Amino acid sequence: MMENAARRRASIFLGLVITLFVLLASQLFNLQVLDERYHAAAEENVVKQRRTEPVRGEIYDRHGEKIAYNIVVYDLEALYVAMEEDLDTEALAEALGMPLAEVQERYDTYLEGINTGTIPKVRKYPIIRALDTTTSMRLREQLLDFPGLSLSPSSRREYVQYAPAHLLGYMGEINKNELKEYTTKGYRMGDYIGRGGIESEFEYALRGINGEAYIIEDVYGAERGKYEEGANDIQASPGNDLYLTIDLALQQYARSLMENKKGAVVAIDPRTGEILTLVSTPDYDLSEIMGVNRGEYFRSISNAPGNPFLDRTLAGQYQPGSTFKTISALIALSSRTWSRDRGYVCQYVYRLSGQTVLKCSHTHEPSQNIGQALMHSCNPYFWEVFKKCVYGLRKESYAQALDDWGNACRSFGLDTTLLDIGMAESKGNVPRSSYYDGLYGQKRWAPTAMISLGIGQGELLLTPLQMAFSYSIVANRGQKVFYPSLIRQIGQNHQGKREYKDVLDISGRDYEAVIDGMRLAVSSGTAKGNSIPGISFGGKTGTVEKWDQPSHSMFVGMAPLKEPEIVIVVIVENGGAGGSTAAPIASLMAEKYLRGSVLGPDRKALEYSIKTKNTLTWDEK
Amino acid sequence: MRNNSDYRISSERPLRLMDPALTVLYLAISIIGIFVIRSASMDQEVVLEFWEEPHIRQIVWLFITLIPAVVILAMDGAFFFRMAFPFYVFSLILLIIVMLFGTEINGARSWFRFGPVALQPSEFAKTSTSLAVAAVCASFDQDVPLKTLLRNVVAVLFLPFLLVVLQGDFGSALVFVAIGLCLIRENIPLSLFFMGLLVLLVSLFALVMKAWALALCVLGLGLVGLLYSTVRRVPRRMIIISTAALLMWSQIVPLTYNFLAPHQQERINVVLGKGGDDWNLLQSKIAIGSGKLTGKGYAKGTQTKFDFVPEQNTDFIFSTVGEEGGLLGSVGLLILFALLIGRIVVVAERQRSHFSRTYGYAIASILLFHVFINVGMTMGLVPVIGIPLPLISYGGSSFLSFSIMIILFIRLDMGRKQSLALS
Repeated sequence: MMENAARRRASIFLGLVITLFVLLASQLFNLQVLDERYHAAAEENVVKQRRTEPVRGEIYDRHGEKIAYNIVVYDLEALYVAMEEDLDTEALAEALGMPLAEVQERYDTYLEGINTGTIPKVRKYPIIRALDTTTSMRLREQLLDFPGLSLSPSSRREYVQYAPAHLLGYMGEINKNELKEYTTKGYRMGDYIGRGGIESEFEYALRGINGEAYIIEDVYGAERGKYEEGANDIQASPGNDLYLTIDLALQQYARSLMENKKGAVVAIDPRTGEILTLVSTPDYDLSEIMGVNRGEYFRSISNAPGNPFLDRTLAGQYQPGSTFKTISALIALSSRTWSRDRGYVCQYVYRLSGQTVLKCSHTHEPSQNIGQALMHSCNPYFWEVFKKCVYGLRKESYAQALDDWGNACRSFGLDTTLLDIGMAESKGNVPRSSYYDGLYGQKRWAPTAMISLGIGQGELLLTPLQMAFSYSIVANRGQKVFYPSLIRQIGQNHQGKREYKDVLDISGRDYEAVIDGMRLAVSSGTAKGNSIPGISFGGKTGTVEKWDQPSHSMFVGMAPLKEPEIVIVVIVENGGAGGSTAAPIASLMAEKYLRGSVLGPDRKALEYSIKTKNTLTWDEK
Repeated sequence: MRNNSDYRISSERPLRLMDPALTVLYLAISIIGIFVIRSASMDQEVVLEFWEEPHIRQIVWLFITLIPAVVILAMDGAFFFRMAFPFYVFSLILLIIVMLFGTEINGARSWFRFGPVALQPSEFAKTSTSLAVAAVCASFDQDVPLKTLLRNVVAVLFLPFLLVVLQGDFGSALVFVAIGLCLIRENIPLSLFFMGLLVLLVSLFALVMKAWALALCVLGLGLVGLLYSTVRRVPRRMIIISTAALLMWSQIVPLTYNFLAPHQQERINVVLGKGGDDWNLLQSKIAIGSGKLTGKGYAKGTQTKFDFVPEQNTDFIFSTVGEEGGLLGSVGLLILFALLIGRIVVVAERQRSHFSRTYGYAIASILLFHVFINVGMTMGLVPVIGIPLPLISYGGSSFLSFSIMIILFIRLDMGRKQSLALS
């Protein structure tokens, strides 16, 4: 009886033990076998996909010289949990050589991110990006004073001196609006993208393809190794290198000549249409615009006189002035309303219908033929040429005649964009009859109203690139003309050339007559004193008068004249007469390009005087 | 029992008398513990000195345990019976001293710190209280009034319970309540345990049900009891009193719940399914669940290695077992514990001495409570109550006290053949 009671009680106790252990085992079975929610959760906890950055493609000139490349910079990163209560922003600003307000702003933004939870407290986060080596080395010595801050290597674009700023564009941090468009393409906050120019147009080609790395992260978000030894990782593929048509040496030389001048230089190889030089001044320093004080620098450039962000080579629109006389002459010769040997006695004044009196700006011998007229840049001669051309072309109406003349202009590549890549390019303007209809009323105007078009003024607007292209048609004598191009090679792919077929029907002799005029202009005409010993150089000056400022100095030149290898357009705003500033620059560039260097004391003196010449107006200095 | 020599070991080679199953189970679990600690503490980021590695320290504790083990085994068995109350009183004094001069760790002032070593008197009080309870039970004959026995046992358990609660360690305090489970084996009416179970259920429902609804249920239960009393001879007075007491209790529990600290309320809510899983608990469940059937393999758990599970080498060490050992490994460990507890019960049953038997049940109760609560909390089965997994959790104090507790029972068992006079 007693034994039975004891046994019963022992079994009750053992029953309790068994019940509780069965309970535990069934919960184990539930968690480990039945409930599938927990099976993969552990892996999701620790295995994190990280993006690996591709190396951005570099940009080279036509000879393989580096123009834009990647350098090692340092990001200043903050680890919140390791930081002290209050960061001494004043000391940090001093260590960085940055304005206090900017450092404070960045720190405040970081703190806001911490408080709103968008920035993890336990993970390093870059608060100031792309510190150069000098700054980061200076900061590294003082880093102990700033607990929680560290430097992490990263890469940044760097550019050679006098790199074509407008052409290349620069790199900037992606903003919120852009992010919407770019996230689908693998970009994210904090990424740098090309801004303007080549960097932007070829963003995808240059950027390369993101890689994927699978890493193991602990609960604090700290990296603890590769997942499965990196077996699932995908290497980032580097971006494509880009080879431009630019000749870096010529580019830099042209830029040095344009120091303290406002304007544009375009050089083109007429045989291929390849653009050799694009200089637009004032410009900006690419290293500064991406440097530590980029914010401040950007503001100062935005407010600077002369609009440094405008790319005058592709987007600047100028009245071509007398440089257009060459084209005007060729249009008239093509239409057979004028002949190359026709003379005209300049009487200093030019009367139109007895109403308007126009004056020739030069005093010179009477022009025996079109070449001499170009040499002297005789205005009355070319008014006469234009008048005859438009009256002679007249079919049903003046309007039709003017539009025919305009179309002839367009066959020189005017009134349209020329590049097949998306650069900030203007199309210029060749006025249509409808424009004058609107201005004066239909059939209530005669070509006398726009007589100044004949000497490249009035409503006519050209970009420097269009000038260079129209002259490369001349240089090629209308044969085998190619559209201007900027890209030689993307990665391994050579870029094809586009042939230009809309060339006007002009005889070879007419071309030679005009080119002879350009030769004369340099040897003894408006651009006298700019000939290159041993190289046949020719060109046409232009002096576009500005009523309240010095004239714009313009020149379009080519060399060697027999088979030109280079066409150079130079515009120096407020640079005075075309022969005084623009022509010497073109001449020096032609010699530099064809010979490799400028030879002789006279030429060296010219180079020096041009380099030191300052044509900026008083408010720009 | 009145004859001290009953507990003496007469054999020439006393170690041969140690119960082999108990000894092997004890050693096996301890050694498994060292391996689990090693795996749970692995961290490439933190480089520790050799002697600072938790599993090395645990091995050191295993060797330190040899000292009390030798002392205990060399002692006369009757010594522990005689010294049960002095030990008990001594441990109560320690519990008071530690409240005054102890070091506070994790919000509980229950530690004595001696340099690198920290000892927790409440751990050792479990053994001494078990001895005291066994001594109380053994000193009563069957004819002694049940009330007196219960009163004395409750008093013996209540004092350390109160002191440990005052230290701020509610989890450890509950262990002293659990010692009461050993009374199942004592000659007291089973209806009392039935009442105990009712109290537990009422407490549980009090937290999830509306107070008035529960009151109605309790009244209904009382009615059923009264009807039952017409069939079987049960004193109606008892039923009415118990119903009234339960009714009061059902209203008191929700009130006391309001006095609990917010984190304690939260822990209870988690188990009751109110509100979502606590993040720490979720990580522990993920660790165990991701182990699946066979586990990730020794030292290959990512949840524990990368700090996702809190207190991974102490209170939550079972999540490492679950993650790395899977269902097979963790059920294997549970079986070892079940065998250990079962063996203690079996060994207790063969004791001639009432004292030894009750002591065996007392420590079986302690182990059962520890294992169930600890393992249960890592799986969200019971609220998170910070008590260690016996012999596995890292910590010298806990390991030493559990070892002493079990070795002492082995020693008592070694003298069982000489205690025929008792019982």
